[in-house]
Parts: sequence; C-alpha cells; structure tokens
Amino acid sequence: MKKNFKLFWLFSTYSIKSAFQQRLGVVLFTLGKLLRFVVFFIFVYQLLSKTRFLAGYNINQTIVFYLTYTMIDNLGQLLFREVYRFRPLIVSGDFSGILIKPYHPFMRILIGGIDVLDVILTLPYTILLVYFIQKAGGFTFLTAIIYIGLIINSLVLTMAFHILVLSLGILTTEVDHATLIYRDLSRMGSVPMDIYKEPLRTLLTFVIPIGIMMSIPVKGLFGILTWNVFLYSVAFCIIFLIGSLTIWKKALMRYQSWGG
Amino acid sequence: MSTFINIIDVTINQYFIYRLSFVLWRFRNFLNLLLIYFLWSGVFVGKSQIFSYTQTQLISYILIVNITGAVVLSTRTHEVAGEILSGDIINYLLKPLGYSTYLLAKELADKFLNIIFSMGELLILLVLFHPTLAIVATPQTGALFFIFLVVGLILSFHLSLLLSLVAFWTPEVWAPRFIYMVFVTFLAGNFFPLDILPKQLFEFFMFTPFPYLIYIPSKILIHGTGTNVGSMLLIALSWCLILHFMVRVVWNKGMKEFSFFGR
Amino acid sequence: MITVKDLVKTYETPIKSGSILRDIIDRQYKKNIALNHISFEIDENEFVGFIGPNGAGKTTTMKILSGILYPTEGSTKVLGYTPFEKNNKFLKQIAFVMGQKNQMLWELPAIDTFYLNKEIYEIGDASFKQRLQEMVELLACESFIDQPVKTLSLGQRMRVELIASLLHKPKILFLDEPTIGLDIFAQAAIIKFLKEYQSRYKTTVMLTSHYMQDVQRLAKRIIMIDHGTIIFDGMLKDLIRDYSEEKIINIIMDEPLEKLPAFISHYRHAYTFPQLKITIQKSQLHKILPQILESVAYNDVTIEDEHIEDIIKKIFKKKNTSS
Repeated sequence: MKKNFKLFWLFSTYSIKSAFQQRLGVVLFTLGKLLRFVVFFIFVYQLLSKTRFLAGYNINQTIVFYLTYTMIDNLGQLLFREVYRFRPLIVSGDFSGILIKPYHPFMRILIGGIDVLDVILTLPYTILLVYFIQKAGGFTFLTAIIYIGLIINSLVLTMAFHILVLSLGILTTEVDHATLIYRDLSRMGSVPMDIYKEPLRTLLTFVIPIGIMMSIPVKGLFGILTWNVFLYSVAFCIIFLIGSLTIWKKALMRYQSWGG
Repeated sequence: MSTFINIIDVTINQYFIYRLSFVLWRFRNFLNLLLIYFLWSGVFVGKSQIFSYTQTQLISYILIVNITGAVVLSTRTHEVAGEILSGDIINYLLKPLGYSTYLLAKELADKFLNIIFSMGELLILLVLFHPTLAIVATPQTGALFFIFLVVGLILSFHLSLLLSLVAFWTPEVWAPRFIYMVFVTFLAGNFFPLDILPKQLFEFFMFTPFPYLIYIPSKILIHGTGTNVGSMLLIALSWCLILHFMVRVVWNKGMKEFSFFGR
Repeated sequence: MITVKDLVKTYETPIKSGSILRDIIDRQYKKNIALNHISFEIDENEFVGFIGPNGAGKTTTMKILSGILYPTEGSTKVLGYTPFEKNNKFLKQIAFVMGQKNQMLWELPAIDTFYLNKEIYEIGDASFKQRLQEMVELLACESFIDQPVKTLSLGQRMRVELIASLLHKPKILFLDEPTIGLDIFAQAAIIKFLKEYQSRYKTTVMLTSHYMQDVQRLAKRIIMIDHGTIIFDGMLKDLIRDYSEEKIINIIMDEPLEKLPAFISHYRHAYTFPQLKITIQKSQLHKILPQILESVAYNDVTIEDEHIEDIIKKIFKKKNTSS
C-alpha cells in the first residue's frame, strides 16, 4: 500500500513535469475549461434569477446541482486522465512494458497521469460548492454525509466506466467515441434529472446512469432521496464495477501485444 | 466544374468509410440538443414568457439553431491544420486545382451531410415530444434568413480556417480551437438567444463576429426583422472583409514560413 | 526454472464482414496458430538463443513466459509461478528488454526512470546506489543519464534501457532483439556488456536476435523455432556437429599459383591471391587435405566450420521442403 502511494506520487510528478513541456497548450485548455464553466454558470444564474425555479428547485439548489456535476466531472478528468492516452500505448505495443512491472497496471494506465491544472481548478470549485450548499440550506449532518458518500459512489462509477474504456482500448479501435459520448451524456447531468420527460428521465437516471452519477448525490443532500434509490445507486455502482473488472480480465486474456 | 463535383463525391464517400465516426458525432450533437431542449422546457414550467420569448418561440429557436448550426458551423477546415503539420498541403498546392476550390468542395459535402442529419434529428424530436413551433414565415424574413445564413457561413469558414493556419507556427493547434468552440457554444447562440444577456454585455457581443454565426439568422425567423437589420448586416459584412483579409495575410506569411523551413 | 509444456497460442483476428451491426453482435474471427504444442525447459544460469524467421513464434513465447500474453493451451511455469497471474513476487524477478519499444520516461532524463524503478522494484537506497554506479560504469553512460531520453541516440537509449531493466537484479532476463537498428559499434558494446553481465551475475537469459553473430557470441544453447514448432533444441556446438556437412579450408600462400591444381576444380572454391578457399564435404576432409598440402605451397592453412547462418538456413530449408 505504501509502495502504491509512493508510485502514485511519482507518476503524478512525472506527468506534471511532462505536461509542462507543452505549456501554452495546457494553459489555453484550462482557460477554455474555466471559460466554459463561468459562462454556463452565469447563464444558469441569469436565467434562474428571472424564473426563480427550475423543476421545483430554487436558484441555489440548481446551482448546487451544476456545481456537483462540475466537481464530479472534474475529479474524474483529473484522476483518470491517463485513460485518454491509453490507445497509443496499445498501438505502439508499449503497454507490454507496463504489464511486466510489479505493480497493478491501473497504477499506470488508470490513475498514472494526474492533470495538474484540473487539480488547481478543484480549489475554486470546492469553494463555490461549499458556499452555495450553505446558501441553499435544507441539509443536516446526516444528509451531508450521505452526499459525500454518494459523490464517492459516483467516482467509483466513473472509475468503473474508465476501466471499461481501457478494456475497449485492448479489444477494439473505437475508443475515442466511447469517451466523447460519455462526456456528452454526463453533461446532461449538469442540470437536475427532473427536467427530462419520461421515459428519457428514467433511462438517464437509472440505466445510463447519469442520474446516479450526478443528480442523486444532491438529492441525498437535500433529503429528498428515498432509501430504495439510495440502495439502488450503491448496488448499481458495485455491480458495474465488478462487471468492468471482469471485462478487463477478459480483455487482458485477448491482448495481442502487436506494434513496434 | 466536374473536378469540383468529383471532390464532393470523394468527400461524401470518405464519410461512408468513417460512417461510424460521423453517426456518432451527430449522436453527440443530438444529446446536446436534448439537454438544451429539456433545460428550456423545464424553465418554462409555470411561466408563459421569459425575457422576450414565449415557450413556443424559445423552443422553436433552439430547434432552428440546430439546423442553422449544421449549415453554418459544419466544416472540414480543421483538417487544414493537420495537412500543414504533416506537410501534405504541398501535394495540394502542386496540383493545378486551387487549394480553395478543394476546400470549398469539401465544405459543401460536409454541410450537405450535416444538414440532412440535423433535419432527421429534428424530426425525431418532433415525433417524440410534439413541441409546438412558431416562426415568422414571410418572404421578407425568409430572404433575410437566407442572406444572414450565407454571411454566417462565410464568417465561420474564415474563423475556422484562421485557427488552422496557426499550424504554420506551432503544432499546438487544438487548444485555440477548443477556446473558439467554447465561444461558439455560448456567444453564437447555441445554448440560448443572446438577447437574454444583460443589455450592455449583449450590445458588446454584437460587435464581435460570433452572434452572426447562428444567433442572428435563427432570431430573424422567431422575432421577424427588427429595425436595425441594416446596421447588423453592415457589421457582419465588415467582419467578412476583415477576416478574409486576415486569412490572406496569414496564409501568405505562413506559406513563406513554410518554404523557409523547407518542410 | 522455466518449464514449458505443450504450449499453444492462437491469435484471433476479427474479420470485417462489412456490416457494422454484424461485426458487433456476431463477430467472425480468423485463427492464426502462433505456437503449436511446444515444450522445453531452461535451467538456472543458462543463456539460450531463440532463433527463427519472422513470425515463427519467438517473441510470442517470451511474452507468454513473462506474463504479457495469455497462453491458449498448455502449461508454463517460471520460477514456480504461472506467469499470466502476474504475481508481483514473480514480476520482481524478471526483466524484459525490447529493442523496438521504449520503457523509459520519454520526456525526462534517464535518471528519473531509474528512480522510478527503484520504487517500483522496492530497491533499498544503498543497493540501488551501488548497483546503479556499477551498471553505469559497465555501460559507460555517465555523460548522458541526465539528458531527456528523447534526445538520446538509439545506442545510448538501449544502454539506459538495459540499466533500467537490470537495476533490480532479475533472475531471468528476456531480450527481444536488443541490438536491432544499432550501428556495429553500439551493437558490439551491447553484446560485450551482455556477455560480461551474464558471466558475472549468472542470470538466466533468453535472447532473440536477427544477427546470428549475437546469438553465436552469447548463447550456448539454441532453440530453433519455425511456424510455431521447435525444430532444434540443443547446444550450439551440437548443432554445428550434427548439421554442418561442410568444412572450409582456408589457405594463405606466399607466392601466386601458376596453375590451380586440377582436382580443386571439382570442389567449390574461390581464389584471389594470396587466399584460396575450398568448400568440401566434411567426410572428404581426410582425403583431400593431404592432397592440398602436397600440391600447394602454403604459408598457413586453417580449417573452418561452415558459417552458422548457412547451417541454419539449410535446416530451415530442409524442414520446409520435407513438410
């Protein structure tokens, strides 16, 4: 365990060192992300200051939904960035060199490329999130715990999804689209699921499951979550994780180590 | 002319090879459309009017934007960056056919396919959710819509091309384009009609080229022609000239740079 | 140390049917047999050369032995472990150097990879320091371990790659084309290092190389593989004894010959003063040698074995025509 932490730290520093070799691009990308966040934030704020309510949620609550989405999305991008660089490792065959190292390959290909600028962005997101949660009110100590627990649940789900993407990277060439569609789908979770009409809502909430990932934690925070849905979310996450780990093992058995 | 059609043909055939990519790209577009559509439908619950829009008008706006977006924004000019970086652009420059002709033909093919698909998406949405639509369909608005559509198309082509020409100087071409896309998403009117923004902000943005990409043409169909159509057209056309000039200058400078390094 | 029994590896490549839907739901595969029931054992301190044409199954075998690939059938035991399970205790005792692949941190100096590997293999500070110094000296790398790997020449990169792979004193070393693409000097340096390293640390080594000289200089034992089956497994000297049918007589003369003796023209020969080369059947050596010594005014005579490349080519040819 201690070794894994040390390796995680080392991979992260190396990834940061390498990232700063292309300074301009990295900075511009972060600026773009920040811009997108700010403009959408202003849009939602401006809109709700006029209409007061969105699907029954007031302005502060709606913003908590948006900020929670931003947070989970950001943490997912930050932690699992290396997944988006996995395909070239397969194509070149360099993945073989990782498989013979005495650590779990996920150390390197799943969480081995922390995005430094996303780390920096996490701070303002957190401040805003805490500010608006406190402003929205309507939560207790217990629901706050449930909220944090469900965010962790969402991150596990995100991880499971990224493991699935890694497996697909070994099995097929169509990986880039899978990740992009996932990003667009998850963006649909930047607003409360309640705005979507049935059957789309159920589909998005429980099957895809953007709702479990982005919306359910906030509902937990505001104490409007039934235990059924809570348990479903946790169970879904566990089953999905087990499923993607199984597929990963299958994928490793089919790995062909071409390239070079 | 026949070579022109040939290129269009080849481009469309390329899409059939990469059809999965194209279909998935449209699918992602559709997801975004759903998000915006439901966001706005949700906002109107218990309200008849927000800003200067009724629910019917705003939903119509969002759906029209999907079509205008397909006409104006779909482009292949981003590939120019790759052709510059790999040096392949030389192959085109050596051919008797002008590079611009080649680009234009590819653009047409791209737009053609995107328009077809966006129409299909609109149809799916209409069938699934039955929104009521309302547009001002007079010959006058029709004509103006068309004029601004063409202007928007010219602007978008030049902006996107300009971003690709950055490749003459640096290989990091994706970051500036990403920022451009963020601008387009919000300031071109993809997410919301721009006139819901605070007045000063809105008036400031009207001096940039972004609103003329999709917001203005779509808006004309919703609210009819306003009094200031003339001045807007003037600003938009000025941007066309400025951008065209910039593309020429940057292209010539870039080509010199290019031959200088002898890539 | 390494036991391979009835090992089979089949690769499956998807066949595109043209219909995306069908490719997703009911994908058809084409099966290629890469290894067809091969068995062998390797003991401690052996240096085994793995030879065969491209696609014969050499690299596949090594990749199965190191746990990268999953064997379709048969059993493999390496150091008492099943490689594919990727037990960390197992992985800590092996190393795999691939000539065409990069295992270094590309953008950063080699020393960073060394430190990373120190943590990965949990090498103690003192033994890391001593080991690193020793390796750097043996491979003469001091001058460039501080430069970003991407700026190194191929030869330099191979040297730091070797250090990175050997820091943890692996018990088994897999070398896949370690000298590919190198110029002759860099190649010679690597070969010299490997020879010295193996004799010093008694590591078990498996090597594949396109250059027969590499194999000949390093390996005592040869495993020849073709179309996924082993066609020879034994000592290099036995290979030469059993398969070499010809000898080359090499004569150096003081004065040019006036006329080539008639009997020589019955054999394959090449004559450019001062050297005369005659290739004969092994069995005829005792008959011909006295004749030559009698008829030619020689300064020096040597009898050489056939070139190893030629022997191997002959074996492959024979196998392929007979099967």
